[in-house]
Amino acid sequence: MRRIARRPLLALVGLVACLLAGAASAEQPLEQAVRSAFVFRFGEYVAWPDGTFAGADAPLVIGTLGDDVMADNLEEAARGRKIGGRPVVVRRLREVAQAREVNVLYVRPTRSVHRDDLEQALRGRAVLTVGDKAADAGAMIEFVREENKVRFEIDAAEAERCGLKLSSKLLSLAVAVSESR
Amino acid sequence: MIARTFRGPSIRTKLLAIVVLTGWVALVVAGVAFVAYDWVTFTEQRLSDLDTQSEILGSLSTAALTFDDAAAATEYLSALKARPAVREAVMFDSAGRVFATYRRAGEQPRAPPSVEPDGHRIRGDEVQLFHAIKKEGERLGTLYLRAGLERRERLMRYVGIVLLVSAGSLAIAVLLLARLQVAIARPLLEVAEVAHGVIERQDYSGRVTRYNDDEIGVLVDAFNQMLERIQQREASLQEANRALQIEIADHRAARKEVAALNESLERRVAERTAELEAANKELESFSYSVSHDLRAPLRSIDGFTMILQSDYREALGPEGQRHADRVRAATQRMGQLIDDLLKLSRTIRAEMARKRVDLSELAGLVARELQATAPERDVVFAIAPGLVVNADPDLMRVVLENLLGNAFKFTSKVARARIEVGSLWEAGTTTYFVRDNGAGFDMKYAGKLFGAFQRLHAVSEFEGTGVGLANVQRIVSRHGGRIWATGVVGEGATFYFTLGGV
Repeated sequence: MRRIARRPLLALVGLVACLLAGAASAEQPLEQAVRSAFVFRFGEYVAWPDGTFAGADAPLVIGTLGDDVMADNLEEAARGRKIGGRPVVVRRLREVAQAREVNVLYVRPTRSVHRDDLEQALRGRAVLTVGDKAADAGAMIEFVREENKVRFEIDAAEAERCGLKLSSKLLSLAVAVSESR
Repeated sequence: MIARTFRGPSIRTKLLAIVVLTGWVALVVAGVAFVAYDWVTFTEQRLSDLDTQSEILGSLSTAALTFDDAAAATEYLSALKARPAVREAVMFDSAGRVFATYRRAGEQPRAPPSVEPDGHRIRGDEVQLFHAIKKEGERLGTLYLRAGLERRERLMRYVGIVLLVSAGSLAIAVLLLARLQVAIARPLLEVAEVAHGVIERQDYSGRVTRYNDDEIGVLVDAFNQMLERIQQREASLQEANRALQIEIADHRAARKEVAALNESLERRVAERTAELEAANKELESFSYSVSHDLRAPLRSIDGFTMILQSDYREALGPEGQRHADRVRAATQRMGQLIDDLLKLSRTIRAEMARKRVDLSELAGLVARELQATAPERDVVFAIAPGLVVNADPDLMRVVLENLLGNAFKFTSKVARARIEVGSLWEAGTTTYFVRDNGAGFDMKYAGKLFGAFQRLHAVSEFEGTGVGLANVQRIVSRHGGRIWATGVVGEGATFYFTLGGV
């Protein structure tokens, strides 16, 4: 919890740098792999509301919007693995509307994917959204770069509003947590 | 050492030793058992503690490992500060690389260990634990913990506690003994003290106070009763002793008196003996003078009278001749008297040898000799046969010669003379007698019969010197016997005698 608003100046500098660098900034393949592993693993520290899954063996669905590299990496990570006893299915979504059907969504805003549309589409849905802070996806968990390492911020209030319960372990690792907006 | 203590002088020390020793042994045994139990359980507890610790830390660190947050993991590990036993902790990631470390303050840095199989191993006073961190069955990393067991420190602490408690229990034991002493030691000590008095001073008057109703109380009662009885017995013994001492003193006095009496008696006997010996000596010298000094003048009288008769026959004339005869007869009688006297003194001094003597035979012999002196007389001798005595034969002959001679003499004027010799047996004593029917005597002179030179008849009537019966009485009394006589004038006399001893 002490990490809440840790080093805000540095974060701000980072944020500005990211903004300047733009979405087109080239990402290292290793960093991509780390991010996909993180996305995949986030599911382990999240509890969905009752009734989200059809049964005990129903798969956990991870969807991607606007980032196929991430989809590739996720598919690689999910192969033969289970999260919370469920098999993992990766879906490459083309439309924002499709986002309602997944449990975890990695979103990268593009021309066709707007942050506002997504907010509209997912309102009230228990979908954990993950994105890059630099891309301004407006996701619950947003990746940031800190000391050359991949870290993340969490919008715990939004997640709670959507009926998701995030593990304290996860929250404790976040560089910043917004508990209420 | 224990044995020496228990041979020691006082029961107080023994009680103290028992109490302290018992308590101490119990304490040490309990302490050892407890330490042994603790040694095992503490290790187990510490291990399970570490297991729990690593389980919690591992579970807490899954996200940090998953999301590669070493800082968070380090912070988690730093929570081990609350556990000073943990000296070092290292978290490895799934590839075995060091992910996060923790080191207790003041702990010397060491080269980080490499991952080993899961489980714990005890190395010296330390335990090392490798614990898998898993999530969803997937191994995320390994947690390594190194913790001290501090077994030696605990042991020292327990020893300290045992020493402290034993010191405390010793103090309590001493206090307790002060009370126990009233119950056990004090009566026993008093018994010992009184017993000491009995042994040292024979003082049976001491008594022990009875404090309680237990076995010691019974012992005290028994001891007191025993003392009471001994005291009584002692008193009665002393009483008896006193009585005995008085008796002994009396006895001694009596004995002294008897001894004194004996002494005076002996002295008197000695005096008498000396007197008697002196008298005997006198008598002997008298006899000597009689035999020698009296005989010589008699012989001159007789000799010169005989010369007068033969040489001066005409001058004397018949009248003178008769007178000369009478002188000579008188001198001869005197010579006879002297002979008898000498015989008497010899009888007194002669040695006596007792043997078997046939009185009947001896009497017959004497009777025949008497008959031969006067063959014209007709005398009947009636001698009882078988009169056997134990006496001196020569002296018995003197007795019979005198008694039978007297009887023969005093029956000379009787026509039918009869002399009887026999014995009477009465009251266990044999009495011998010689009886005649001669002149007899008057019983009022019976006391004079046995005196020397005492005569009851005139010489003209019956000749004799008057020495014979005195001689007989001396012989009979030398044999321990007695002699006496009965008689009637003109009818005869009987002489009785006994012979004492056998």
